[in-house]
Amino acid sequence: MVSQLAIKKRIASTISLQKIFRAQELISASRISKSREYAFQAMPYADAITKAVRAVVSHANVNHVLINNKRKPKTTAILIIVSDRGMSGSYTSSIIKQANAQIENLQKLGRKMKLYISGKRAVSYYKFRNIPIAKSWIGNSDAPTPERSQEISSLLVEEFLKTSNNNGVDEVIIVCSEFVNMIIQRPRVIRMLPLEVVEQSDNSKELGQSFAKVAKVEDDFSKNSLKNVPLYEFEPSAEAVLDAILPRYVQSRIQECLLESAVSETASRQRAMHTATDNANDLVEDLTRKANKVRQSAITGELSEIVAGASALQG
Amino acid sequence: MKTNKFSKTEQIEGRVVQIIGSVVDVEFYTEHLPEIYDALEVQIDQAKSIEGENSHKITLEAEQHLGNRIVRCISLNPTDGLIRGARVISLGHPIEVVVGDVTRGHVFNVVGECLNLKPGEKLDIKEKWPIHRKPPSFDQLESKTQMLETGIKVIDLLTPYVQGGKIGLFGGAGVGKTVLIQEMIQRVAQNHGGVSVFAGVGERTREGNDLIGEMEEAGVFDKTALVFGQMDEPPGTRLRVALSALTMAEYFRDVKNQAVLLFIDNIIRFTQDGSEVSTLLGRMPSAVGYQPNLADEMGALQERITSTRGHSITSLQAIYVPADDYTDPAPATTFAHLDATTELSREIASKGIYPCVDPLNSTSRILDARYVGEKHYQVANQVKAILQKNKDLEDIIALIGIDELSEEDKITVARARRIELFLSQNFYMAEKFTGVGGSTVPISETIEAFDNICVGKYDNYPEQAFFNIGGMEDIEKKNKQISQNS
Repeated sequence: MVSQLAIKKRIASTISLQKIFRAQELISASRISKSREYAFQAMPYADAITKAVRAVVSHANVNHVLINNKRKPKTTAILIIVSDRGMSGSYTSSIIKQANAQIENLQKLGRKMKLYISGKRAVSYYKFRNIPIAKSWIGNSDAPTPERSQEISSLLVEEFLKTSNNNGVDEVIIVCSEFVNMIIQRPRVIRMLPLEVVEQSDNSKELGQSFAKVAKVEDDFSKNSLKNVPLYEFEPSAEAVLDAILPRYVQSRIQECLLESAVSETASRQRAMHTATDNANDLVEDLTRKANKVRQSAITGELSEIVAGASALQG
Repeated sequence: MKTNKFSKTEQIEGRVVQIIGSVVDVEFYTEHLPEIYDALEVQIDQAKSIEGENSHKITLEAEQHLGNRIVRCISLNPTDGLIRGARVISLGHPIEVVVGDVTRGHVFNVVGECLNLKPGEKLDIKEKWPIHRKPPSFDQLESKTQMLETGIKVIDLLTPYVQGGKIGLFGGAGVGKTVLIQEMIQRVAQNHGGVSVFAGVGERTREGNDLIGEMEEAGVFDKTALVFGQMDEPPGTRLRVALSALTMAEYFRDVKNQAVLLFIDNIIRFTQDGSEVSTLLGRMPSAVGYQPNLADEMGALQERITSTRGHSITSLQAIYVPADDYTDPAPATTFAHLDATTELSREIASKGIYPCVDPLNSTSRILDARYVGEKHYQVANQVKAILQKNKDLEDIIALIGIDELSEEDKITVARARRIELFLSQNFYMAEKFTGVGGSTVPISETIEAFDNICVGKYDNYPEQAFFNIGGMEDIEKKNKQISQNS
């Protein structure tokens, strides 16, 4: 039988763990609204730039290099967005799993891979497995700054423009998290470059829902969306406008991914810590019961020994 | 052996003055008393016994001299029909059992009566030995140490058994001690040149029957002597039956110069019955109500189970652990005498892993590079280290999930799971439960396979490929099978 002391020690350490979990849960709970607000605030800009891009793309009959879809891809860049810290349940591992599935698929097609990673957890994951990382960003995964997305997007665009012939890439894929609601966050894969213009649907004002319903615009330019777009003239030329606006669009998309991932991370952490707190409580309860049982059986043993000894002396 | 100040020929007579259960007080007519541990006999004529015989004999063993010419005895038979005033004759010597080749293939009770004689068959008794004997002296003890290979992975790797050593199988109720003992009989006795002696101490009678049947099937029955004092016998019998079996084993060792395997199932019954007897004798109970002479009684038995130069008694003792409490005085006292302890754990049994040997608590004196070799020692330690680490992480995993572990720890956990499963093995004895035949894994293969797991060679294999199989070939086979199915 386990000693009473050992059980008590375990109870004590579990209680202190439980406090940490509880604190983490409360911190996440207070941060989630802020994260959602940030993501929400970024929406009008994203909407505006998406509309602008759509307008330019649909009216200017040019083949810009970023929208050029005909290049046969040899090297693919994957941008994986995860969290810096743990204690967020399966958030990081599910995204990494998704990313690995993508990598495996693409490698089967004979593509070379370049890994770009935002978030310490994924960095340590790939470092441990000796998988080379082209570039990584660490820090502020739960409150991403525009500078970060600027840095990422300009690097990725630059790599894309270089093409695989010059040690760059032909394709950029983002694996990040999709925030469906407070309970569900799932990994999502986006093909960023060559551009796939995506617009958020208008009817959903709720942040979570709006993230869920993204409409692919690229193929539908001619069919649906043209009606809503007024006629434009370009000064000095459509290409110059595209040159200026497309990198901004890419940055906006990446910023959106970062923000959404931050919301997912916080939500996931809150949920995971809630479960962990519950688990710790259960464990403490179990252990307390066990400790009581051990204590009681020790008392019973001693008592019956004394009684038996006494009665043996009398007899 | 004994010198009596009165001549042996003189028969000492007395009469029964008190009967309390299996404790019988006998008064003698003269100051000439039987010695402690001498056997006494009472003939019961009047009572009709169950078998319909008109008379039967009760054997008593002198335990205490109470004064006033009264001797307190323990009965080795049920005392039904015994009455005060019955005539008691001292035999002038302790209980004696038949020894020698004649015991092979036969089943005995505690007083050396054969129980499986065919009608008309008669035992050709050449020699009888008293069951109370001295242990061999220091200068005769075997000093060499050699490993006994069993072909069971977990045992060979983590608790290697000593040839001529004492091995304990600890475990609570129903975790598979008896199955493991039977498996060992099957594995070891079959390839074993010498004789085996089996002592059934206070276990189920059915198991005794099963064992005889299985031994006959395995063809080892005629090399084995069996002594039974099962649950239905009075405590005195169960207390002495181990000694009876041991005496037979000693004869094979000392006179026939043979290697002997001694199986005792279950040694704790010996202690428990000692406690029963002790209480009946009116001794003051000691810790947890056990007899005050617990350590002494165990020592007297265990010191006799030993190997002398050139000829060995290898003993395998099943040790029931009351309420799974290893600190209970009975198993704790037994611990000290053993060369190798194999602990069977309920926790592992509940995972469905059999044999449910606890890899972290089981130990062996010879798990040392000096005896088993550098490689074996290293791999065993590595396996233990991984399992220990896994155990330490268990709490964290239970609280916040496996995803929170560092990459190194995740791999450790994955390997620990594979090791845990690979420590299970298909048994010959378990074929009737699982439908899978047994496997024998040579120690070299065991070491290599576990080394491979530790260094991560099998990290990509599914966990199920390690469950309930034999050696490395089986891993590959099962892996293929699983990948085909999925």
